[in-house]
Amino acid sequence: MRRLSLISIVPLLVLFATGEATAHALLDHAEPRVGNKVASPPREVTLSFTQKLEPAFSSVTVTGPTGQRVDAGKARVSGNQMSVSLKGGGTGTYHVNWRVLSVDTHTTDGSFTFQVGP
Amino acid sequence: MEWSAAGAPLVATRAVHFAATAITVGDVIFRTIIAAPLLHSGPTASTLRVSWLGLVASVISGAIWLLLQAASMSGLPLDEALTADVISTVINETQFGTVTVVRAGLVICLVACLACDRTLLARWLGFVAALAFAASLAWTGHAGSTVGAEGYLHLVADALHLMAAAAWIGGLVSLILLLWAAHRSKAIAAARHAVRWFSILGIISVAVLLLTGAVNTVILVGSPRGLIFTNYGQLLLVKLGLFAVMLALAAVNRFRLTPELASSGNEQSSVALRHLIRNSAIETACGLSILAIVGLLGTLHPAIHLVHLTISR
Repeated sequence: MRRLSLISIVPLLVLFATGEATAHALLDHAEPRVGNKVASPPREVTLSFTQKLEPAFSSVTVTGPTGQRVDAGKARVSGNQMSVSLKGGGTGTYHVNWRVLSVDTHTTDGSFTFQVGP
Repeated sequence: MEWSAAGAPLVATRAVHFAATAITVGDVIFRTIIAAPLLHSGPTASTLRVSWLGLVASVISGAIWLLLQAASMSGLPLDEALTADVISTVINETQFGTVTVVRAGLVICLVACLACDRTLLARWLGFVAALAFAASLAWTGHAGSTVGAEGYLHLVADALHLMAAAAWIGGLVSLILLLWAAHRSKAIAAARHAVRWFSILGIISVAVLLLTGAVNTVILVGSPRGLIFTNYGQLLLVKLGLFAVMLALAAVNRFRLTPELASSGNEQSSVALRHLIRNSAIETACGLSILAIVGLLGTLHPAIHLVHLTISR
């Protein structure tokens, strides 16, 4: 037990020492799927997380192939899902950046891309 | 990924708040269920101070938690986050804020009940408010954000888990004070009464902790792999180890020292009482260590998410 405890505590001490963030709501899946290619620009991007989200502190931005923002602004949050409408942006690579606060009070952020084209 | 508020202060504040809540709630339960028949005798007089001190510590640590949480939620540095706009958004638009307001109301109720502690109605109203004060913490943790029908089961299990933990760990502090007062005033009969009833309370608490702990573990860890290969699981194993030590000490108290305390020999009773105080102090230390671990566990990814996650950011 004592040895196990010591082994267990070491990574935690490292965690504290490095100040690494620890948080909760992780991206479970998205639509369009992460890294996938779709034929035409989607009307919206929907992200599903592993936990419920706080609307007041959750947001998502989407930039199109030209680097300009193509999201309509404020994201819609319901339970563990967050959606944002898109204005369209042609073919190419879209970048999705998200930052969410889970109901259990922890902030996470991340990004992914998807492709639009034939 | 960024955590703007320093992690260690938030973990420490959570741990202090959990400990202060447990001590307050444990003392209210102890006074209502166990010490009530002894309330007019000397040994119980000092335990009311435990509730007051615990409540003050709960309020201070709760306020600091709110401020640190506001910084964490907003992503701003602490000095920039402490504005009326950010704090009102946290209070009015998040589940954490709602729970904080509810708990502040429960603190006011507890203050009124403690001030009128001599009346039966106030004592039982305080008992209910204390249980709610412990249970409400479930809505600030992982259980409050679990998705779907499983979320309701998780909340119920976690609320019961918190109430049972507070009754046992918090109650130990009051038990030690009562036993110490009984030892000094040679009031062995009061000590026998308290130990006998605390033993029953302990058995009920342990049963609830085991059942609800199993439910929480299935939901948050999910597999032996999650228990062994994640920080969350490893820390949970440390917590279970401390829980096992507490159980072993409780068994010694129940099956060896309690019969010795009940024996007719004064010298043997006195020795048993001293050993009970010592064991209860070690149990309390283990219990407070568990609460410190809980303060950290709530800030870690649940193991089941790390094991099952198929798409990472």
